[in-house]
Amino acid sequence: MKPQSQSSADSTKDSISNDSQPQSQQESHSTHHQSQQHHQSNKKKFEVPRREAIVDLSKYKDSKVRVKLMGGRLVIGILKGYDQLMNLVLDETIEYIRDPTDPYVIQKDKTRNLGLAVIRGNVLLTLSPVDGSEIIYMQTSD
Amino acid sequence: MSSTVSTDFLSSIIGRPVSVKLHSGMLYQGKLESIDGFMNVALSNATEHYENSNNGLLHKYPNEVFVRGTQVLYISEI
Amino acid sequence: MDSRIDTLSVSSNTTASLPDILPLEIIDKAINQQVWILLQSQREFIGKLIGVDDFVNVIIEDVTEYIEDGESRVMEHHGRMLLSGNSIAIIIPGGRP
Repeated sequence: MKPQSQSSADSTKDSISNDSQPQSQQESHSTHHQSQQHHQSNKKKFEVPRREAIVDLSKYKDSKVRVKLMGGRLVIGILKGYDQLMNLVLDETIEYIRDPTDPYVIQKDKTRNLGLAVIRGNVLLTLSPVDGSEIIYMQTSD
Repeated sequence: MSSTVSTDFLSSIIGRPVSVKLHSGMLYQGKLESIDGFMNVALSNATEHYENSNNGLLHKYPNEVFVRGTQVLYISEI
Repeated sequence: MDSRIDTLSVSSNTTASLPDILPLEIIDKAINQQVWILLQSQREFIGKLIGVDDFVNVIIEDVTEYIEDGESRVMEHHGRMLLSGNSIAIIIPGGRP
């Protein structure tokens, strides 16, 4: 980790000094550094652990979560299960009814019950715990 | 579409009249000539409506029409 | 640091011992039952679930198609329908409560 950050700092210094000097003199030198940096960033990318969820959903199990979906749906339910793809099982799910003319506007006091629901992971936008959060503003329907 | 469920269904409805709806709401009704694993569809003798076949006829495809699979919402028996 | 690792391993052990509820299992168990399917858009379907594939493309039977909060019915479909899994957002076993 240490030598890598050292060399990247070096290469940025080089590129700065390149700007103040004639391009032709430094050209071969700078391309060498760039390719090296490129190689290192590739290597770093492969070191990132894969297939690990970045958030541990087990800590939300049996507690209320708020889930936003692609397309504008918003549901709240008790997290009962989940899988690697972030498909979710929610119980006692409620969905906020949206403005029929604008599906991206949700209405504060209009909900409907969905019961036990499976949420597809590929349309999930955000997931957050309900406890410890509060509504700052939501459109009232009237 | 590697799994058996949808391929079984697809092979069983070839040659039959179907409704095909796109995400946009366009509805095509005709005889299912062919279909692939991407849900690309070929219909013959098709009609085009919006949302519902009771809505006005928008177009007639007397020969054949190809529908892109990525845009297909559902394929339903009539 | 050690104690932190201990608590982590304990918590993962306890969750492992609980019977896990897997979303795709819930869907599988709903086969031959009514299901309520909500798409990303304001479109919804209710019908009997016949089968599901790996992409969660769904085959349903004797389907009613709704739009906008289930108030305006769009179409009744007799027979089977292959619904693309692409735009499915929520699947609710048991149909509409």
